[in-house]
Amino acid sequence: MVFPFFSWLSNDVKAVAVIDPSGIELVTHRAGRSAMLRDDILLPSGRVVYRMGMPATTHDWTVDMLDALPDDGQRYEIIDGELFVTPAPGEGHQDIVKALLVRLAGYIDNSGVGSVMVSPADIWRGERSRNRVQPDVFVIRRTHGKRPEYPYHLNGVLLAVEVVSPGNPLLDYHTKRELYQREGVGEYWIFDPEARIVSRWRGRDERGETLSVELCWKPDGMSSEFVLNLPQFFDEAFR
Amino acid sequence: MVMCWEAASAIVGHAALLLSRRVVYRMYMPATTQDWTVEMLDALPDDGQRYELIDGELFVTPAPGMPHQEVVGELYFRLRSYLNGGDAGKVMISPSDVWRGERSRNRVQPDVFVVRRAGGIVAEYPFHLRNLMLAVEVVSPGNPLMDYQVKRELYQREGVREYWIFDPQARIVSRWIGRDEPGETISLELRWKPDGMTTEFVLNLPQFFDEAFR
Repeated sequence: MVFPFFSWLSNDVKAVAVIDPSGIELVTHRAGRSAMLRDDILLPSGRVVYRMGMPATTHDWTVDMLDALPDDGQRYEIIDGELFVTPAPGEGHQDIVKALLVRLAGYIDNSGVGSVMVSPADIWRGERSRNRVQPDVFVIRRTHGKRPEYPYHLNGVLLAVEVVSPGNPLLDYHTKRELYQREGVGEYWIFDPEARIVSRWRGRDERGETLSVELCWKPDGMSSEFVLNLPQFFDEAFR
Repeated sequence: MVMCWEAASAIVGHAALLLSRRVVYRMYMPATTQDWTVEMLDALPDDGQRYELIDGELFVTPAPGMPHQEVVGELYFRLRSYLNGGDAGKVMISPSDVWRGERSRNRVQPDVFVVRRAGGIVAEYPFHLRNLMLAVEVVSPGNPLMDYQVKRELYQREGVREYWIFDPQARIVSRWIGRDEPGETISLELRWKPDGMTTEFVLNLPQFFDEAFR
């Protein structure tokens, strides 16, 4: 029971977005690649992911094509040439990013082990021109005190964090989890500001943890442990 | 979402008007007003919303959406098929009446739950929380704190053996065994083998969600 959500036609674009039966995912099928971005802005106010399924006859998205786009506040990521567009996040999302950034920076930035960063950023793996992802918050490993060259490769990421927003959970819980775990990211955390829980995966473990009380982390090279009291963290982030 | 009320009455009609999504209202009563009781709930008209009491505190949850009910239906079917192969427990769905502590001030309605059978006999209705082998909530947009925090703390404290939260949007399951913290986040396969069953309940989650939403 798929129903069309919107559609339009122009000279070089045929696009249709559908909501799947669970009302979950917006999927955009396109025959061309230009001129659709402006229209996306008109879509729902929640943070929503558009997965672009390209017919084999058109070429994939590349990093160069992303660089040519105007900065409209949305997040554009490509994984193996597939484009994911995420509208600008809401206030709660940014509250969590900010609070976590401050705490992680205090923990690790002067250690020589890693540096905490926030997106927009440019992280890749595999074929460079067809891959760019932007974790909300991440820690890049320092080797002999030095950061790797930018743009960073996923295998240099000690920790990737996404803050989930209503409307896009499949991207964070599945697409990015599979990507990060496969590509050797040390840990992956998903913060859910509404449920006030954190899901966490270590290395390639299929089983994650659902944390509601305390989050502890001690990457190789650190002598102390990063400890987050979650109820207190969420209270302070939203204050 | 937290709402403060001066009195215990007259809020029910308003609750329906507030939001279209499934949202939890926590009613904080001043000490001078009377708490909600099971009898007061029984006197309410059936408007399709879920009314739950925990120690006299009222939680109102609007009627769920279609993905929620698809997951509930599919899970009930799977659990029933599994439990029919033994004599360990009986699966039920809400509306229902499950309580603990002071009876008149407690009633919760897990979306899906399994009541233990002792010697082949199911516990008396209304069921007590300590007789639940499993409680399952299917989370809806708008009320995650109720399922992830309020009910998790309640079920874990009151001896519910297992607690699962299905998230139909994220297509993941969070699971707590006994009072364990942290819980597990499961995206591929959920396995459960309660006391008294010889076989294991196995849920391939990607397939389960696909079939539930078909």
